[in-house]
Amino acid sequence: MLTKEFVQESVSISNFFAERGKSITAAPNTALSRLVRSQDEKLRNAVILGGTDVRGNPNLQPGFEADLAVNLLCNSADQTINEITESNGFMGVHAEILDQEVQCSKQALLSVFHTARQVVMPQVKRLHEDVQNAMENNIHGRASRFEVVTSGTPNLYTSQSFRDRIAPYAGVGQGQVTVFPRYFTPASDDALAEMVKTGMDSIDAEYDEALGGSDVLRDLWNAFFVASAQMPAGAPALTMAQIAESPDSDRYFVGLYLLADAALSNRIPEGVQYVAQGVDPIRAVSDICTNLRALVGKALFIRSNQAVESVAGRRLVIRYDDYKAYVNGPVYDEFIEGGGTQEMILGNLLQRGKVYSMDEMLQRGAELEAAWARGVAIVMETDRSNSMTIQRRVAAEVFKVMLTEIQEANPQAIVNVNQLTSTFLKTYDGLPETERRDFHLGATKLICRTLYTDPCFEQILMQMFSIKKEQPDASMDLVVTLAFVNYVGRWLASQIVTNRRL
Amino acid sequence: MKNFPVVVEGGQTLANAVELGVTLLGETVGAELSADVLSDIGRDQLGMTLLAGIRQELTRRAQI
Repeated sequence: MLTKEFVQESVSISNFFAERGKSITAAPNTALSRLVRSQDEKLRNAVILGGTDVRGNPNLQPGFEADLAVNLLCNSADQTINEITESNGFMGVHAEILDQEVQCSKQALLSVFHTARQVVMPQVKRLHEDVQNAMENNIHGRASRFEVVTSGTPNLYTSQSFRDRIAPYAGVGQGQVTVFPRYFTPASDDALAEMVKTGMDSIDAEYDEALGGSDVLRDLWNAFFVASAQMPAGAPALTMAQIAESPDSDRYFVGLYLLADAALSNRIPEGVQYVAQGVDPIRAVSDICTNLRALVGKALFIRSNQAVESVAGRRLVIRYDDYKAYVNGPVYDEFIEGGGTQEMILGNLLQRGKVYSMDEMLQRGAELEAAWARGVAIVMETDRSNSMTIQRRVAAEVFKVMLTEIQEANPQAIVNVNQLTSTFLKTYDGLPETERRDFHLGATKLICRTLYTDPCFEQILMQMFSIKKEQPDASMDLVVTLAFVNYVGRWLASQIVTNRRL
Repeated sequence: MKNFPVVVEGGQTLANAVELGVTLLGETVGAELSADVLSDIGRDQLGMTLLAGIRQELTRRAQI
């Protein structure tokens, strides 16, 4: 039943449009048009009579016509409601049609809304969450690579005999090892251990301690000395970058130096063969190992010097690389007990300037911690700036997985993965940046414009997000109800036309 | 008021739309709508919300 307030507001809106040259009418063949038609004759008569009677009267007060329109409509509605006679069950033409139209439209509207919530929304949620998780890992990826690594300095580095052995490489220039002497067959652990021995027990004992087991020589031999075709199954394919960044890099560098030195001296293990085609393997090994030993020897010389200075000066930090601070274990414990933090050390790493002593580091603690906080925030922001490119790729990958799952769940469905992914990427490229950053909105558009293309799904879900954004504390029941009311409002508006005819 | 019959016809259309909407929402309680929430909002407010939504959509469409 209509209330006077509804009618007043309706007339007010109609007048607003009329003043702008627009009429409001029900679109033909709609539920609304059938409902309106059930009142038409009575209302037309009333309007003509009322209008003829009142319009043109110079004594009319402002607003009188609006009141008249409201009264005419209310009376017209009352007449239809008054047709209800419970005794014979006839509700009246208007009420009967209203009931029929509600029953006809109800299921269709509920079905669309139910699909939006129970089918489309979970797919949006899946895309959003999977992409967000992948992005979080990416954004925090570089920041989480920063770490403090406590390491015991190998005794070998401070051994005078070892320092004498590598001293000739102090003047070797900077360079990278790009070629390796991969001309050999695999060797046993015992054979490799024998290969690097000097014959002097005390020195060999220092090397054994520095190597810390047979795995290092075996992995290095397989990775850098064994011909590719001969490489044992499962042997790790190491690279120089990997061994430089490894927590065991000291062991690897010592092992690589000893193997290159032995190969140069032609101390090849018994049973190991040269494998070479078109080259003189002995000469090739000699050339390559000369360079390899010199560059690794230089690296060991630097590390040895750092170790000596670290021990003598009780230096906290032995060395920094891009993301790691290698610290002297015993001094680090003392540093932490004295109030030091990992953030101070990492702040010093990010400053890329002077390496402070433990005491200096403690004195500058607040400054270094602030440097870390600023630096890591910049790193994360940079990664975030690059994240949109990554997000596009990740979103497409997740979407393809979803398509595969849909196909598996519905074997009869024809899912053109390439075509849908192409549409998906075009839609992504058309998203405003705000919807890529607030990917909830982006994911909604992506799913609704590729998989569920009836516009009403996107409208319903976007409306729900909008309500939740405006009322963050609103319960899900309230959000759903308001979204459904909005959807019904749009459905009603779709049955109304505005014509320029005035 | 200019074009009195046109204003009445528009008002009639909108009033019927609200009547249809409010009745339909009442019929869907329990399916997608929470009876408690709908009761809290109230029938009058529901009608006004529907009218506001219709007006917004018509204004957008008519580019007023």
